[in-house]
Amino acid sequence: MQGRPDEVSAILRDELQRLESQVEMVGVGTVIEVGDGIARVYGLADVMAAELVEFPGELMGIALNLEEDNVGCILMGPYEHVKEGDQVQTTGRIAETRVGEELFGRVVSPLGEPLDGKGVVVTKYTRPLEVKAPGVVKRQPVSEPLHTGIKAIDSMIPIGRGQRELLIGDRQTGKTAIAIDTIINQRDTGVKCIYVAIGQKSSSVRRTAAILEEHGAMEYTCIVAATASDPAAVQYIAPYAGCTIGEYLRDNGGHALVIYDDLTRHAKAYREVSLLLRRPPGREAYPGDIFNLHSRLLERAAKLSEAEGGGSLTALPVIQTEEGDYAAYIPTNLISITDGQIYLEPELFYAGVRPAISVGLSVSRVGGNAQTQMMRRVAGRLKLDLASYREYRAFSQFASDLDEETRNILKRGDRMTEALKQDQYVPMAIAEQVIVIFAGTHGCWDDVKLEAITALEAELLTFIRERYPEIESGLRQTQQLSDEMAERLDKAIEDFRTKLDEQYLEKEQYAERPTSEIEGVE
Amino acid sequence: MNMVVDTLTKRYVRALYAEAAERAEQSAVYAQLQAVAEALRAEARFLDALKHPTLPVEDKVAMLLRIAGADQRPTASFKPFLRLVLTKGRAHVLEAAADGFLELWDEDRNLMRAEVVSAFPLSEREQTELKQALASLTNCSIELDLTVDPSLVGGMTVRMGDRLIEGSVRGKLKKLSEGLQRY
Repeated sequence: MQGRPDEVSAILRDELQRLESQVEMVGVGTVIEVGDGIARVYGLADVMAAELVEFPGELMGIALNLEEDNVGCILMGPYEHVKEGDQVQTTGRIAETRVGEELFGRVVSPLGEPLDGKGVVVTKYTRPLEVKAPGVVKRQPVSEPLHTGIKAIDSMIPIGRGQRELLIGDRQTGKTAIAIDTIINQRDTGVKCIYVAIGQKSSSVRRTAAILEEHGAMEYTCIVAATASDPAAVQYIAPYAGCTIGEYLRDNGGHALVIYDDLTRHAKAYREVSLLLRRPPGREAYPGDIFNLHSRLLERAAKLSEAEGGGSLTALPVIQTEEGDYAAYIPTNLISITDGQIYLEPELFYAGVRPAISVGLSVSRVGGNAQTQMMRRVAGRLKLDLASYREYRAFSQFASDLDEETRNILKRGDRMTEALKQDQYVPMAIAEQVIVIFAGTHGCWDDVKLEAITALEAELLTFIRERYPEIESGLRQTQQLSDEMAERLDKAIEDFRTKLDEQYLEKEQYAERPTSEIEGVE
Repeated sequence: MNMVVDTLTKRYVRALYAEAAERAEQSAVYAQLQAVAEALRAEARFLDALKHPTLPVEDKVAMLLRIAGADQRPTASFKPFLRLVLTKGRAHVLEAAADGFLELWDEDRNLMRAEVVSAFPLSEREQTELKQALASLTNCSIELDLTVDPSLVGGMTVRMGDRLIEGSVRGKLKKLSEGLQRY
């Protein structure tokens, strides 16, 4: 922070005055053992659980294990200089992190140190990392939507503010892409975003920051990064730090979205810390409180009651599965904790269905209440229809002769799947999504070649924007799709079709071949 | 700094102290424990000998009693203590036993040891004043252990058990630099 010379001298005088304060008494202990990011300390008789303790060289630690004759501390930085016999001091503070608006637009470590080379982060407040989640009385049901800008999610797996929705899938299936798109879509919504990178490569964090910067999303986003080279202890506290930053906004009546990318690595970091602290291992060597570790973190995502300011904290935890095994230990834990999951399937991803959302396995348990009326109206049956389409699709691989009805279900499903495809970094406004899905479910593409749908979809939107601007603005303002509006939209789509037919007299350009030939393969 | 007294040692020493206190022979027992600890520290292989399975326990006890001078001036509690420790194969508790014993003894007579590090040597009067100030702070009688360390620049630090009173100029300067770094 830059200051004028007279400000500097005022600060200096303040600091010198503070020095006159009395001598202080602190609790001390002696290091008896140090290694693997863990120190055992003798003494520290009146240390509190999770208190910050100071080692030589301004190294901070957190006292996690208070045992009969020693205290187990995790070290939050390089510890090569710490020796047996070194003095450790208590600080009287529970582990905390910096919070406040100043953090947005920055990349910081879980302890609030800058990682983006933009200078020291100065915040007015700090908050403890571990606090109890708001109780029943302080909450209200999820009622406002949090739009991701992704057609497949906002229509079928809607997310509300204050919800916890899990992003789960194998590596390289687009989990982070969904998270990033959601952040980009929060521009002008007043939702601030916190992206917590746990155990990722530094280069990935850098790339994420660059992408957000490029799409103008960094100004309302804070990246909390504990990279793969950071000690396990730092990775372990990272999501709590991100959550604390979001909670500060929530408790001040604001709205925040926090993404934990990813909690699989977080569980591994905690397992490492726990084993080093010699806590008894359980299943897959995870400690007994691995469930509580994640449930107490995600429980802090909440929609507060009006009496509490009505703020919200939405959480999108990310979990990586191995070979699609979502029934493994950590994934099942997270699935049971969260209010739903978005399951990404590698098969779909490689078949070109991106985002590769598995309709059958994905669910949102509370978001439906938060969906806008217009979206509920156009997409009400979409999820069930698509789920049954997938079953038919699987069966039709073996069947040679299909009846008319089945063929129609397959045809419509193929087209809907195509219409829900979406590129990365182009989140779509909710009113546009409604138009596109309305067109799909009303058979606009039934006789159109699969490959042409994406392009025609864009054309449809331009057409409506030019000829019927009142539809989009009406939808945007009321967020309602009245009968009258639906009729108008129907008519607009018919117009578009007529124009299309005129434009391409040679229908082969976009028309589907007769169904007797092979069905378009997805 | 004293040795770290682990839980196991504490248990044996607590029993020994209770016995010694009953017979009011703490100082004699403490001296004997110290002599043993010193011998163990001086010769690392001594512990190996004490742990040796083929040597009879009575020989080991006799050896330790001779080292501690307890064969001349025996105390009632020391010999049974040695016998117990050696039969149970816990010879390694002997090294820290003296420190553990002293802790209990100090606690019993309400005495606190203060490790004082000062930038300059303290005068007699300063020492008495410091003693009084610490005594009124802790409600204990105080024994000072003085060290001089010029790198403190000025003032002093006092450490009593698990508490540290930081009153050095070096500490203040460190605070100041931390405070200024926040801007």
